[in-house]
Amino acid sequence: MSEANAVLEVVGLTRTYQSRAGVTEALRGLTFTIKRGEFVAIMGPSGSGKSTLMNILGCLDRPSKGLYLFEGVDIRSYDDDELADIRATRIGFIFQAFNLLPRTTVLRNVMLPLSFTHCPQHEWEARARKALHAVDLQEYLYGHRSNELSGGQMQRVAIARALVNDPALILADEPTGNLDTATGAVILATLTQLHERGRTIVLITHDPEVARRADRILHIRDGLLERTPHTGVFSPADSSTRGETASGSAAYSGVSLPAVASVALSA
Amino acid sequence: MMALRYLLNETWLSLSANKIRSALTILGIVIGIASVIAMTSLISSMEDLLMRELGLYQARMVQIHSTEPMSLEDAQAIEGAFPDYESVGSLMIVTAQVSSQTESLNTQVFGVTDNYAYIQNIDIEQGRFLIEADGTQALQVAVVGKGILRDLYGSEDAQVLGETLRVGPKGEEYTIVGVIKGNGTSRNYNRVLVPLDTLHVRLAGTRTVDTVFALAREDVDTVDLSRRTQSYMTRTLEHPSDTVYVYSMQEMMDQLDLIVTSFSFMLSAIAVIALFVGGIGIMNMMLTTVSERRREIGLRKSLGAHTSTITRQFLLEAVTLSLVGGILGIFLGLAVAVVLGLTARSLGIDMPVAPEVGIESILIAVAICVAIGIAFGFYPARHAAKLDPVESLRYQ
Ligand SMILES: Nc1ncnc2c1ncn2[C@@H]1O[C@H](COP(=O)(O)OP(=O)(O)OP(=O)(O)O)[C@@H](O)[C@H]1O
Ligand SMILES: [Mg+2]
Repeated sequence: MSEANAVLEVVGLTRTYQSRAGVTEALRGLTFTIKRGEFVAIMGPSGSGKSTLMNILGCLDRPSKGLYLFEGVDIRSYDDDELADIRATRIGFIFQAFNLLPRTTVLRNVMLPLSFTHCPQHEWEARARKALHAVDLQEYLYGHRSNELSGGQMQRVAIARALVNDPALILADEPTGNLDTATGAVILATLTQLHERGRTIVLITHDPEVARRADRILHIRDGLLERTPHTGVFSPADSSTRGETASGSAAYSGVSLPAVASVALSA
Repeated sequence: MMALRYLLNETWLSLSANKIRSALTILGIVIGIASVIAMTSLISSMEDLLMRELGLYQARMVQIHSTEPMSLEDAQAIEGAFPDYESVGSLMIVTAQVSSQTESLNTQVFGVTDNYAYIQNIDIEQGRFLIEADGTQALQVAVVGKGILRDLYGSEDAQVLGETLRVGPKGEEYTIVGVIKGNGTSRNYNRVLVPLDTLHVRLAGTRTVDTVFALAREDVDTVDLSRRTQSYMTRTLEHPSDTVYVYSMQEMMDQLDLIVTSFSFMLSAIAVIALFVGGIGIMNMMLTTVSERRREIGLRKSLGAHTSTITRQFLLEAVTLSLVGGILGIFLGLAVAVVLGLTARSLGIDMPVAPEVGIESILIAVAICVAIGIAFGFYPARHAAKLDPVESLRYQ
């Protein structure tokens, strides 16, 4: 069932939390595939399990049950350090709260993930500059401390940090949640641009306007994928709750994907 | 994998973000290491001082004191009874006014037998020491310390051989025949030495002896010899047992050794306590830091840092803290040693001002600091490394 051009596949993905209050079933058996070069939005009400899903897709957490294949490999075969290596080299995270190191310069913030890889140190700065170029941050800001920036600038630095390792997958959890509408639009434009250059992006959002920019929207409710209302061209046509891959829509993959996938690795 | 310079830079950034807290935290280490350094330098100069003052030679010396007057006959009897003594001498001390043409002062005048210089290991700088003939003829000759030269003749280096020194209430004239070597810290610096017989006849008016001093032969157990001398004094010579005190220099050196040892033990205890408290301070600060920087740790882990990377990062911070404390402590300790040396000098004790701190002590101090940093930083670092990235990122 593993597809050659899939970045990730989940099958029957389940995550339950044990706490004093009892057992919470945050995810209750999700099945979908995300292909190389796709821009997928994940939507759902608060508490529906979006962040839980993102943590698993980002290899920060493991499923309680079900299968997660990242670039074709079952992540159960990785130990914690190997998962950390995947996060360092294959995945870029963008958080709602930016999560930059304060008192540290923009450049060093972007270089941070490189320090967890085998990338030789003399390449760090050039790669960081390249990533910052890609998000259009003005060059005079590179030496500024991150806490001296505006929210929109911080999020662009965070996107550059997510890009610096040339990841296979960019995960963004409410990247515009802490920004005003206008700034959010700029960030969204940046992400859209990255997608156009071939990046695979999974974006979590509450905002339907934001989600509309994606190729495809996965709706989650109570830990399950919802059958998506047919609201627009970009919504998946198939019922994902039955365990079919959401991207399996012939119309969708036939039209938009190949064009994007072909440039995915050249970005 | 991670370049050291980059790591050190990161460490420095995070420590300097909390300068005051870091400074307060390392105070315990600073004090601990300073006392280790001050202690080692102090003890080595003290031992130096004692060795110089007593000299190995005098380990063979035995002194007999009595609260009741002794006589020259006692000294002769001891010499006859104990072949273990190579030489036995006597001395009597009076305090008298001594004056040159221009100056005068009150000082101790020692009447000594001519073997005094040999037994006490006295070196002569000018002229000669007293000889047997000086005593048998009760000549009015004197040997003086350089303090007398300074006070009565203007300078420690004054040429005084043949000069006249007036001694005692009658101002009797003594010819200076020798000057004793040694600066302000030596025992004979402010003394005037005259033949014992002369002192008996001219100055004391009695023929008693204050101290009998003797030099044991090589390889004699001086502690045992002093016991035997003690019992000879009370049993045979019939001195009341509670008036006679016989000291062997060896015993005194052992006692001083004991004092130095217990002194260093006390200082070591202080150092150990300070270092322990310092280590706890570092641990406390590191735990605070870790909980304050939970988000940062969560971020690093989610960006791909291994558990071992985080452990290393925080261990390095702890070690850097204690190492900086240690280096400051080394300088503080040296400063304390210099101040103590200068104080001792101003009190007339001849301690070396430049403290004796060997490279070994510094290496030991550095090693101690690294060990403390690792020992007390390990738990907080492990704690940090084991934080769950998801939980930590949610933490506000
Ligand atoms: N560590 C945890 N322990 C116990 N329950 C948890 C934990 N994390 C999440 N949950 C529960 O799992 C469910 C899904 O949470 P999640 O954070 O994934 O929601 P979300 O869709 O991201 O919500 P929001 O839009 O508000 O961010 C919620 O009911 C939440 O209470
Ligand atoms: Mg969430």
